[in-house]
Amino acid sequence: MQFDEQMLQQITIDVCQSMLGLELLPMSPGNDMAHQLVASVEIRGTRHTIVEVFADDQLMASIAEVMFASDRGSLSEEEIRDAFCEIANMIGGNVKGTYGEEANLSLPVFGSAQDWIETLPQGSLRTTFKCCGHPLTIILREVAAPSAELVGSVTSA
Amino acid sequence: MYALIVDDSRAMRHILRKIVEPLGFQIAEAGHGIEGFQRLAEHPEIELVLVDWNMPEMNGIDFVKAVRANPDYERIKLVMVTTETEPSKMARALMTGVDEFLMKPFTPEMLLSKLQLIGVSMPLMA
Repeated sequence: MQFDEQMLQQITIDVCQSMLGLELLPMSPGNDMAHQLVASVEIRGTRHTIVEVFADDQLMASIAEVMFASDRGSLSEEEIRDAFCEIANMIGGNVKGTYGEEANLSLPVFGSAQDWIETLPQGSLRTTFKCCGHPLTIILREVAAPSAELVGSVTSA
Repeated sequence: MYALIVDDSRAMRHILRKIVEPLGFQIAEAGHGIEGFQRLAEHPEIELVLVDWNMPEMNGIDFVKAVRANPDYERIKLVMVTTETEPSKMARALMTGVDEFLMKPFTPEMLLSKLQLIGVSMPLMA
């Protein structure tokens, strides 16, 4: 199945809107990624991709407050990171589920987007929503697409 | 009645707790499979376990295998709540001894429906 931007959008909507009740509005991607924070998961199978979820600290806190049903400003930094990583985990897991083959999902990793590499490899996808008044960007970074030879060897195994 | 929630995400444990607690369960929590076993030993009255797949230390599938290998825990209903959505992985989980499989993201209604399906007794369910 060809995974496209619309599918990435739908998975994000399923996670953030349908499950958590956060309103998402599609918006044009911004360029100020360096000041954002990122949670990512890696998918390794015949295809190798990384799903990265970007938000600023205010949006991260808002998402965490919804997940923990907590008052504004009441959560620790660790709880906020934990909630944001779980968003990346759910989006990444559902992306993996569309690949139609068994693959492994890493545990989520959290960090600053300061050293983020703007240039995306061919086949990568990017989608941005406005959520709680802040941009929420999801990037599917294609690290290695399956080669025809590799796909063939797996199919015949 | 006790339910155990095993997930490395505190946020996810909180979401599951908010759904299951009002059904009349007291809740125990664990961040991975090894902690999950400690909670089972502390609360022998646990009847329901909601367990994630991908966790550090001991993952969900190894936890399920170990629970099913222990006759003392035979009565426990196990529901795997996970982002692992491939049919092959679902099949492996069910063959390992999971009673039901719930994919993240989910709604409270979806979880309740799974619990009803496997006959989990919910004292405060209207």
